Amino acid sequence: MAEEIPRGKWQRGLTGSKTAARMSRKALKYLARKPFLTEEKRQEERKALNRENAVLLFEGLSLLRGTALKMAQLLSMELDIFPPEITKELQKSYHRVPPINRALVRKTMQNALGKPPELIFEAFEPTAFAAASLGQVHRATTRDGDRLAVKIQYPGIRETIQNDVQLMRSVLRPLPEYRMIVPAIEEIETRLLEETDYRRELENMAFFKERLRMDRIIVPAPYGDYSTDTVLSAEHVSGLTLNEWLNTGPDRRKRDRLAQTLHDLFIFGLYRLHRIHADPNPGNFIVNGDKKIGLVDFGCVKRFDPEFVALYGELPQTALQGGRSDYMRLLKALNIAGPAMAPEVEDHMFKVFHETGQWLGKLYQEEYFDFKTNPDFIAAGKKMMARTFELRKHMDINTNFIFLHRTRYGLLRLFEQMGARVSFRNPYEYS
Amino acid sequence: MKISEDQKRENRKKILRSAVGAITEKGMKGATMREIARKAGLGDATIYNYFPTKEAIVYAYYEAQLDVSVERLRSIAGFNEFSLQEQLQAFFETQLDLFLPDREFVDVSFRAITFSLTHDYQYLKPIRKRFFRIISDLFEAAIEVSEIPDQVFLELTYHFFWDYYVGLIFYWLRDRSNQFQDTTILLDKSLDLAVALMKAGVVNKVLDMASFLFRHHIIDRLDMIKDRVEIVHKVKRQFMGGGDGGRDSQG
Repeated sequence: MAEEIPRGKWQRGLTGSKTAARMSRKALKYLARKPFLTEEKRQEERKALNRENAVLLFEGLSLLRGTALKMAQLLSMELDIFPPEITKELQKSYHRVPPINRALVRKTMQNALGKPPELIFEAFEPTAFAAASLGQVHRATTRDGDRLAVKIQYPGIRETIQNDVQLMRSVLRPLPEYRMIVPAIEEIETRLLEETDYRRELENMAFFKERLRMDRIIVPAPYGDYSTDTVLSAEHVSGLTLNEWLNTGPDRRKRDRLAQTLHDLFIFGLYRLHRIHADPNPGNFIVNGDKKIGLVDFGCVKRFDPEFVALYGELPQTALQGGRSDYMRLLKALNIAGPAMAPEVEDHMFKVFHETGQWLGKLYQEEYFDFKTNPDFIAAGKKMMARTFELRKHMDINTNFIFLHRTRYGLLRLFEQMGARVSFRNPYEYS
Repeated sequence: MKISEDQKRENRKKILRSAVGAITEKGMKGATMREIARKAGLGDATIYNYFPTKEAIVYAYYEAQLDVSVERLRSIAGFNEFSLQEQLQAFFETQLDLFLPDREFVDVSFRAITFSLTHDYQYLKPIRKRFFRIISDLFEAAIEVSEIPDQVFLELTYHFFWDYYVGLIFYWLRDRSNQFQDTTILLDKSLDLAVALMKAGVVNKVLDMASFLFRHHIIDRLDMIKDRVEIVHKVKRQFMGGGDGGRDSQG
């Protein structure tokens, strides 16, 4: 790595405020010119401003790397939070933590478990076989011969996250969307801190191991004796990651079956367990012998209130068959629409959400939805989401939606990539 | 009474341990040779068969820890396959691990030994020699397998790492983070940088530039400097009241 990551808060503060200062200057420039612009020109200027801000924001975040980028990536997935200009810039971002070299692996294991790896395991591979969010994964064998995947976290990552989040706030404050973004940032901070607490992940894994009883899903067994808050050991699941598996050219039938399994997994988690695996990264799905899916990385698990789940389940049916009053009642109950809105705002909101509902409803219209014959489905959805975004002044974000949408959208993208045919109908939403 | 080599080695070890205990409790000044001897189970006079002064014991402690580090590094499976950075990192981490139980002792004694400039230097020498031997082993191996290009003035690099070692220990002594992880991160990042610089041959390039400047600009002016030196010597001779002003009489 040629460039050092600016770590101390002091130094990050410098790069952070640099971005903020530059953004404010742009905003001032726009405000100064505002009175002299026609409405049309104003829209154009506004767009240009967003675009410039996005570029600046991205430059600032790239300097920060690490967690800040992880957060940028998460925010960028929330299509309805950032305007398209900003989203486009952010989607270029990727997350990279510094690799942990062999000397540092030993040190980290020693700190966490009190002994270097060779005294803990029968065998331990000093070179990682996979990258994990904010860490990396090594293969190991216990003295009893069990094969494990051992995840190790880069030291000091939690402290860095907290500093980064504070900086993200100051970087984003000049954005007109700041008010909207705050709850999202808070939600993401909570989730990131949870993601770096491996003890919690171990508990999540144990929960799913016990409760998620699906024939085609493998949940690895957690190994608490070899785990701490920075080291996590679990049964090693053999197989190919979803992307690797797709590259082997599996036939249509196999792809459909796997996509269906992923969807069923989501529905089971949401409606039966009120808890979902909220990180549908293809690297987290290990295809085992064409039929089964091993689920790894329980760092990002989202829990929901039963009340929210019940309301959410009504959405597809209401969007497809309900009238305006049903729909508005549901949007208000979900806190998407405010309790008292001007009639013209409500008109507009209903129109936009109705169209979005119609779009989502397509998934349920027939017994099966085929992504191969609907190649523009997600593209159309993006446009729809951009329109919902225009309503942001009148909306509050229900934070439950952030990770729910991220998961659902992530899955739809995977299905599209797989060119799969999936039955979305289920007894909880629409059948 | 004649005692075996093994017994001698054992006694030396006991003295080192008891000195660490005594100095941790009473400080460099407060601890006495007599107390160290008694704690080690030796006679008040016997201890002088091993070490002439308290300071000599402290220096011996740091020498011994370097030797233990080497043994520990050898026991790491696949250590010879580590990259230069990983080897250096493992070496420094091992040193810090060894210092950890004696952290308070190191805090009290380290400044005294590394910044002593005068008569104690003879004691520091064997420590530095051991340190240089470890570092040069690692570097020579790395150059042999072409991991880094051949470095001009390799000696200078070793000296740089000695200063780095001293600085790292001071940082560690002031580190208040959980499990001293800030030191671990600093070590990781700084070695990453240092090895990257060496891989890119930055030192060689700097020296290339320096030698260009030297040849083209300094040598030209040497005659001028020579004249000035003469003037200085003349003044000095006059000031000292004649005699051989060019030489240091204490030599």
